[in-house]
Amino acid sequence: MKLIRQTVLVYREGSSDKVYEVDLCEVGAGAFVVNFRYGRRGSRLKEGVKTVSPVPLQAAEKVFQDLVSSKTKKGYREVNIQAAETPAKRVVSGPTNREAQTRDIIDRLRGRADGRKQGWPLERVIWRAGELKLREAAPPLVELVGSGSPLRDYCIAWALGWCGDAESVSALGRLYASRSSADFVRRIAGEALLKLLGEGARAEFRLRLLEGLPEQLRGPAKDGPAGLFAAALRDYLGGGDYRRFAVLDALYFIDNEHVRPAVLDLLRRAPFGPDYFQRIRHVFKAAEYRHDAEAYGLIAYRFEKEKPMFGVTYSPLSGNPRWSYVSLPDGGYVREAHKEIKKEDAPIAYGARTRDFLRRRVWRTLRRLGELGDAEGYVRMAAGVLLPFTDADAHDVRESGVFQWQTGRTSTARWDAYAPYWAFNHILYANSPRYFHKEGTGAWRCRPSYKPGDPEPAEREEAFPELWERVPAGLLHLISESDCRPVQHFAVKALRACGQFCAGLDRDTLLMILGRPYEVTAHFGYELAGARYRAAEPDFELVLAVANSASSEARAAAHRWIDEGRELFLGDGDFTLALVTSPRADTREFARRLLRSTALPEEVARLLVVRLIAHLTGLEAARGAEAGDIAATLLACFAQQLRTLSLVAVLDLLTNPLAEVQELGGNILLSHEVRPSELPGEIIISLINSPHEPLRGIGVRLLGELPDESLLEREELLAALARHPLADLRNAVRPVIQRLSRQTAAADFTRRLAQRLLAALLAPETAEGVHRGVALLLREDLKGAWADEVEKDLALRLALAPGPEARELGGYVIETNARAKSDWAQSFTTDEIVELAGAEVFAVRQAARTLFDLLIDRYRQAANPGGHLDEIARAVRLLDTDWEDARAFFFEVFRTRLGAQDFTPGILVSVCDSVRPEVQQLGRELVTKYFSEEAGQEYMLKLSEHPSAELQLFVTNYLERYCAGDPQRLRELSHYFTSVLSRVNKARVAKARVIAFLTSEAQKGEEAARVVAGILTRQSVTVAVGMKASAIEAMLAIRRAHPDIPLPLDVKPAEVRRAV
Amino acid sequence: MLFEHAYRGSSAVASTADRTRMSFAPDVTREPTFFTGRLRQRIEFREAISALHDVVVSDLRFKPKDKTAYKEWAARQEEIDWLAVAAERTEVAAKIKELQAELHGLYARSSHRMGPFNKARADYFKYLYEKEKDFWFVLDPVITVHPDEVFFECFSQDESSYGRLGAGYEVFDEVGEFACGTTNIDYSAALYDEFQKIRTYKETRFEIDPSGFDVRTEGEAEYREVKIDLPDSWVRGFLQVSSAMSLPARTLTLHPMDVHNICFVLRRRREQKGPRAMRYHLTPGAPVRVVFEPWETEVVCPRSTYEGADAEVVRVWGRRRLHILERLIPVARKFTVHLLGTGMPSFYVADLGEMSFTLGLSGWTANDWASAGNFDLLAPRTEVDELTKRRVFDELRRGWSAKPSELASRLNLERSVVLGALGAYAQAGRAIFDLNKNVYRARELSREPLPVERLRFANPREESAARFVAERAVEQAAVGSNPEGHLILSGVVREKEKQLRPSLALDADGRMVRAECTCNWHRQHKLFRGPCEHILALRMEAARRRQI
Repeated sequence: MKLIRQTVLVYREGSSDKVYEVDLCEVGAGAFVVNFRYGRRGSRLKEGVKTVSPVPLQAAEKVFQDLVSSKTKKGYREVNIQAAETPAKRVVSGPTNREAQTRDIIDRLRGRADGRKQGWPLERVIWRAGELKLREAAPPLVELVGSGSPLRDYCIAWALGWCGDAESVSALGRLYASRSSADFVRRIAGEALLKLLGEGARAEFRLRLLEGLPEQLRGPAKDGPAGLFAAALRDYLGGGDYRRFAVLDALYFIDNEHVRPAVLDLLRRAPFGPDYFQRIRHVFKAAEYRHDAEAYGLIAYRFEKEKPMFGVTYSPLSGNPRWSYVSLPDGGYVREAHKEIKKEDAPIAYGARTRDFLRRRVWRTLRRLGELGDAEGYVRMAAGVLLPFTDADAHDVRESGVFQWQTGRTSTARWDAYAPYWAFNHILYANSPRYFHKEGTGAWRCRPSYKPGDPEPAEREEAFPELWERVPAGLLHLISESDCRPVQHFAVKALRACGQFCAGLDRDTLLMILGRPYEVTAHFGYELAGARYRAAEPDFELVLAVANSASSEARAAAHRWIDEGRELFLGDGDFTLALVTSPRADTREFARRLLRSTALPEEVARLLVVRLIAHLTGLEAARGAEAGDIAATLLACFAQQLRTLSLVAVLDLLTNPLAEVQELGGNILLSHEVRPSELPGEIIISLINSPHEPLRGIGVRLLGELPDESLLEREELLAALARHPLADLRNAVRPVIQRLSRQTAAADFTRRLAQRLLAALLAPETAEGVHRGVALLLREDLKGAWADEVEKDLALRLALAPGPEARELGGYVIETNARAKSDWAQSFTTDEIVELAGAEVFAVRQAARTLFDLLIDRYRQAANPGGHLDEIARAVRLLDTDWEDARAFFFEVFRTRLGAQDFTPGILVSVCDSVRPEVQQLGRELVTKYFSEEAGQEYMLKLSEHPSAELQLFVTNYLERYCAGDPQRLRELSHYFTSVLSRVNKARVAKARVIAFLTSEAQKGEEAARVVAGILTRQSVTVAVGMKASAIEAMLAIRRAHPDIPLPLDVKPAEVRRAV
Repeated sequence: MLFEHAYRGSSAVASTADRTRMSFAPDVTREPTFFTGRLRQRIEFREAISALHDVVVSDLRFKPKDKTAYKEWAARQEEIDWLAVAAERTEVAAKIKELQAELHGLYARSSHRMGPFNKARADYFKYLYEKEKDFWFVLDPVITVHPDEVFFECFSQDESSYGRLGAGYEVFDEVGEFACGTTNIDYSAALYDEFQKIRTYKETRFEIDPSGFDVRTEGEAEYREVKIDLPDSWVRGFLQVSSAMSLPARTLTLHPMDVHNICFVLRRRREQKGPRAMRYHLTPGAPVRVVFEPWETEVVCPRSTYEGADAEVVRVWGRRRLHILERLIPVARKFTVHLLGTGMPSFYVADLGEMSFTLGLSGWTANDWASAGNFDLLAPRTEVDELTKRRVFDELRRGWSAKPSELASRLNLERSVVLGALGAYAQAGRAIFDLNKNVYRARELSREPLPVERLRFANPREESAARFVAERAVEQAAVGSNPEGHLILSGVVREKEKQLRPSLALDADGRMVRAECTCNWHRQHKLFRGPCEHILALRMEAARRRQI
């Protein structure tokens, strides 16, 4: 088949980029076919045939022209080839009608109720009298002792403690001493006595109680010290007898300096369970009564935090249930819980209901105090309740959406960090516009208008604001003691309202406020300090406190003050030191800037350096950032002084555990007046081996400053650094190597170093990135000065090594060397080039291309007449590479740079033999292009064995010319015919051509007819109608011409039907 | 089940313009097996080994289309539609339109910008796929050298097709030294590509590389260890199909063009729904007819007369697997078909002169519980004691292949005893029946014997179902059909004192479409974990009575 004419059409529009190629080929004398290929440019083209059987030239040209013009009409172009809510009702304090109330109470106590408020039980009236501290009520109260239940006596004792006087003492004494009084009555009577007794009598009362303590506690309780007592108490209670816990009541009565710490500690830690809980409850009551804010707050805090021992009691504990039980957390249960819990040695205590009651009681007590207008008491107790809370008690902010099916909306409820604490929220947020308590729920929620994290409102939110204002010292107490953010915010906001009080605060208090770690507090402190600041005679300590405070605004102001009066401030050595070593990073940075722009006298500077270095060496391990800043300041501002620092001090720095301090030492060495060559050698090595990256860098820099001669001797070390597993070391040594390699004297060094590094590339990678670093060094820093020394085998090994970096470098080496030295390139065999062309790394394939390009004469008949055939036979495999770029190149070479004389039919057939369709296509193209008459037969015979349908079709073009009239050839090709005709539902054109050819051959002689008959006999079994019909037709023709050839034909006479 | 192989180097074909050298790397951990020779029948061999490759990579299991991209698009579209609805209501349609236009522009820009990346990524995945293609082959083919022939065996990925290419020594000349035995050969896609280059005008040497057995001191690193973790179901499938070869079957001979015609019908049309069976209508003395469901297209094989004794209709499924035979049509002289029965494995033996190619197909393409019914293929056939079995096998191994009757006379045993012993070995993968020459051959599938007992049943339920059937605890109550044309089976299974009532519906392809049982297991799991033992027992009982 010979290409007569070809037209290539292209179509480009938008993203469409198609080609359509039309060929006109001569397949035999006067027989022509028109083939076409089409598809997206660059992709594998689809093929087709316009002429099923060859036609004369004229007809073929018409088909060709028609096809081209139909495509041109379609747009192909020919190319030359080639909502804000109202706040809750304010809880207001103060009596409404105090006198009327007093009168009413007294009347009731005296038994004259007058029909008003009938339902008010006497016990409650008594209680109220105590609350209101009605002195007039004491005499009627005393009279009422013993007139009712023990509960009434309890109330009387309680009330007398508040409103009684010396006269009530005897009545209380009787209650306390009487054996018939109930325990709880005696306890409260004791408390009331403590309140009413004079100093001496109280001491005596306590002494008596002390004497009554068990033997082992008595001594330590009396004489201390507190530690000893605590240990004794622990031993005593650890005895396991529940009765011993009763001692806690007595101890709280005694409450001296030895006993109190142990009791408070117990309140902080004791488990809320059997034995302990009853006593803690007694202490709680007593603390409430005494206004002992510390103990009260502690217990209140425990109520909030401790989980109840049991949840639900089945059937209520109160009333008269016949049975009840509770299940315990460890899986057991207690039967008849309502009886059990009342026992002295009850196995259960502190249930959920108890806890709930007690939590509510805490706030109720406070609220009553507030409502009575007892500012002192309220503030004290509220502060006591607030103080145990810390930032650690914050929960995660919670959000929950509830879908309401009626409205189809989702309402979102949000809970802020401290939502679950009952009294805490009441104290801080009773009047808050952002939080509220929803009836029937346990925790405080955010109002819809507020999301946790929004700015807090400007107005005051706490309950009883005026009580707080009346006792601002309480607020100050909170500021100094509380570690809880909302408490600080509250205290600062409330304290701001007490202008006069604030103006009178002393310097120490200001320092305290500034020292608090809360920004709000610190800012408040800054406002107070700012009001007092006078530039002419500044208070250094206060300015320093502002500069170190938690508020950035305050610090900025302090920086401004200092900057404005720098002469004055920097004159003070202590102040400067404190500023440079400030705990605040920005202040330290400010100090650095300040010092850099200020010239300190040499003496002052030297002293400061010494003091700073002493400070640095004393820093603990956790303050690395601080040390880093100080070191930076030293390096930036005192370089001069550091240059002459004693080497001993520097070595001291180098051995410091802090990496930053070590780094400072290293940095000092870098610019020290003692040069690296004079340093002991091991210092540099130990720096290089340091676990800290910056120090290693310094080590390598010091190494780099060594004189070249001594460096050149350390080639081993440099090579080891260049392929070190640590990236920073590899990078740090690169400039050194680069510098060394630039010297003419170091050519030998470079070569030896490169050998070592190449060996490292061929070995497995020790750490990720080593190969990359080594390759980079070889290419960039050594500038390939070593490359021309590399032998071919090494280059090949590199190019085919497992690591991508080695391959990349191998490709580079081959490419550069091949270009430089032609005999080096000549040493590559074609098989090696084939291997390189299939490599995964582009550079290697590129090298293969370069090699082929350089060695192209090897494949040309003209230049290498003896061996080119063998070489090109091997080179055919280059076309089969997996990589598109390489394939494109070699396709181009085979198409354009090699010519007809360089190929033999055998080679072109082996191109066609490839499994890749595109290579087959190229093969066909080349066969067509370099077709020669004498080789046609060889092409036909060899290609007919190809398994692919395209090549089978291609072969049909040769049948007419090389097979016609030759029965022997026909026999040789019979497998080809069978396999074309057996294709299932495929190869229509090829089948049609083969059948047409066979039919015409069968007419040419008996021998040919026998061959054709054999083939058709087999194929005629087909159920494909067209195929079967043409086979039968052909067989009939054979039968007519040669009736003796056996054929599966049974000619039946046509049935004749006659009409009746 | 873990199969471990060690190869020295890789199998390679060195092909130049005038010669091809195929060198297979055998598994060096197995008994030394080697062979060298020069191919004579090159084209036939090329086509046959390509067909074998088609078996190796064949996977006709149903693979659902990957629709993630479409679903993403649809979700986005839906969002847009909702936006449009909302827009009508709130009179901001114009704005949304504008935004959509902008969004559209952004999408376009995004896809434009991401285009090169996506393309590169796709190329990379394609590269990975091509590079790791060999992972997609389940198990390397097994090669066996016997005194009379060399044969290759393989089993498809979808656990349903078995291929065996046997080549007598007439196929080769210049046969060198050889050692009989079985070994695995390293196989790869590149190897297949090289097979395609075999031509008559190229000298083709074929060797199972004897150098693989040279003792080398340099060490283990030279060996490439391959570990293949095969699913038990795969091994079970292989054993089922290969042991089915030794069962008695109806045999018929087809003209190569008959196979062409079968493939032709299947290539022309594609069924949308079942039944998807192919029916062989066998009438003694009449041409074989093959009918394709559901169209009832009939292919008559005029030159293939059925010579069996009884008229029969055999239905077989998984017919598209027959396309594997397409490449053999031009080179085959005839095809011998062995049909075990409806829903049972079938075998197609292509006669290629001195070579033969056997394609074994399991009853269904999908080897799952819904369609599989071949529970008894691995059931012991005759009870033979262990010692006799060993004797029979040792005798077989002495000559590597033998007819059962020869063995019986040599060992003085009943023919049925010999057959029982050989059947047991076939089930264990240690012997096969050669359908072409009608002899048993010793062939150890794996280095270590396979645990047949463990492989016999896929799960304990199948085992107890087989027990129920064996103990005659299944009473079949009724066979009926429903309006959809499903076959309904129901019955009672007695388990101790309980009576359970399974029932099931089978579609026209014999697939279980519905099943119920009164047992606890079925109530808990329905069919999510396969049918319960009683349903299986009912189905097996029905199969035993030949009702399905």
